[in-house]
Amino acid sequence: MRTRRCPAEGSSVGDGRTSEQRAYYRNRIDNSADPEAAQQARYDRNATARANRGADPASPEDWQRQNDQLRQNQSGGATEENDTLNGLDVANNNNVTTNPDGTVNRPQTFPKDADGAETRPDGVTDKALIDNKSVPDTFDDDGNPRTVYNDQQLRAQQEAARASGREPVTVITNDNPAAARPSGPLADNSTVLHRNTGDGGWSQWNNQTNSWDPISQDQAHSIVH
Amino acid sequence: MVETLNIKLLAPCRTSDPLVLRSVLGALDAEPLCEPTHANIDERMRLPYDRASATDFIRQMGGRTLILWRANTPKYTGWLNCQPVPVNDLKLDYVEPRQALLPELFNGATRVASLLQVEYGFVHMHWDRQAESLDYDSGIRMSVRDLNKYGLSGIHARTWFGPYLVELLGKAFLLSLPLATETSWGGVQLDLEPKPWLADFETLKARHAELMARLCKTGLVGTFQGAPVTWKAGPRWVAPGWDVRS
Repeated sequence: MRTRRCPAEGSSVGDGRTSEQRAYYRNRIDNSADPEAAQQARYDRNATARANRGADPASPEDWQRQNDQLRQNQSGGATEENDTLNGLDVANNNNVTTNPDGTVNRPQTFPKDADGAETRPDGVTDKALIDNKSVPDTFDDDGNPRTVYNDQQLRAQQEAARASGREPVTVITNDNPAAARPSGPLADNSTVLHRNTGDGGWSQWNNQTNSWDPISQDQAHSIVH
Repeated sequence: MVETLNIKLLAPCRTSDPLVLRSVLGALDAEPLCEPTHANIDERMRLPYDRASATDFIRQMGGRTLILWRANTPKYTGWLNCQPVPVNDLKLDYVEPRQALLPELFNGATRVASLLQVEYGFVHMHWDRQAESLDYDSGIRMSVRDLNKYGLSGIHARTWFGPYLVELLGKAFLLSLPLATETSWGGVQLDLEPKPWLADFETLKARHAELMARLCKTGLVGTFQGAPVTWKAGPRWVAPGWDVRS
């Protein structure tokens, strides 16, 4: 693929692209004539983000490989997301569901940024907005726990939660809590739970001790209901 | 050698307002050992810091936490929360600062605390002694939200109590504690030792335990023990509304 970059200049923030660049590529993807053109726009978007960081574009083959891996991870993550939400007795907000009376529940979305993009939490209750983050079971190459960062999506959900009088709840899942942790800013701005995918056990991040405290399923349930 | 020096300042500043944010960052920039070198709202990517761009991050992106780094000696990681609430926190964690720099770090933090007229704040000297340092370290990760809801959690090598806490605790009580002095903004500064930067872990831990025993009797100290996490507010604690959004 050859790149056709957004001409917009400006300081890059957050995900490495300017707001003009984000809007430009969103528009190109949404208005593509065919799937190939949409894929080209996604590749160009990646190349722009890399250029903003001073990096060369990834080769189309490498980029495709990374995308395939991402999709595979997302597939595994979807299973864990469903298990987490089932464990909390919360409907998956990514699905359209039908009530017994025939009325339809559509996913609830909340404003994400000034560009008008929206964020969709994995679970919505009267008391909480819930997002599930799946991480590997192993420590990283440096022997440190996998860290879930307070990214733009989670920050948007924290805003939406507080604006609607709810608690933002982030659930980290893997089968080894010692190999997973929230970043400081995430722990400071969200209630953080861990669900063990091996035995279904729950823990809550204790910001004071910087460690996981085991809790019962009832206690996890009571945090979101 | 101290492993980390933790500075945390809870300031009555609505830093979601770009003008207020600029002035808070200005207070930080005025201190040679506190000025950040990098900042971003994305904690995974350091961007070179300048005050105008940092203010733009918050304004453009509606960001609510500005992550700060200092890559020069003494190095730190930290953040400035910019929530639309009456009180926001600034946190700087210096990693293995040289002993010779500690007095100036205490002095710099004190000048920033004074400029911001903090409601609560501290300089904490942390040594990783696992279970042995658990009580001594209590409260070093206290958020505005948690302090507002549950009350005080700890005292530190140097602690500032702002006007609200002075009123609840009683000025006479606070000033009766050794090494307590009044601040220019109606608060009280409490040191664990005359020159805390020279003290070792055992000395500070013993002084901490002694003073916490007296502070706990006020009914304004929360319970932050797990597991499970069942935190409780101090029986006399009255939430000041520092996290009420507008």
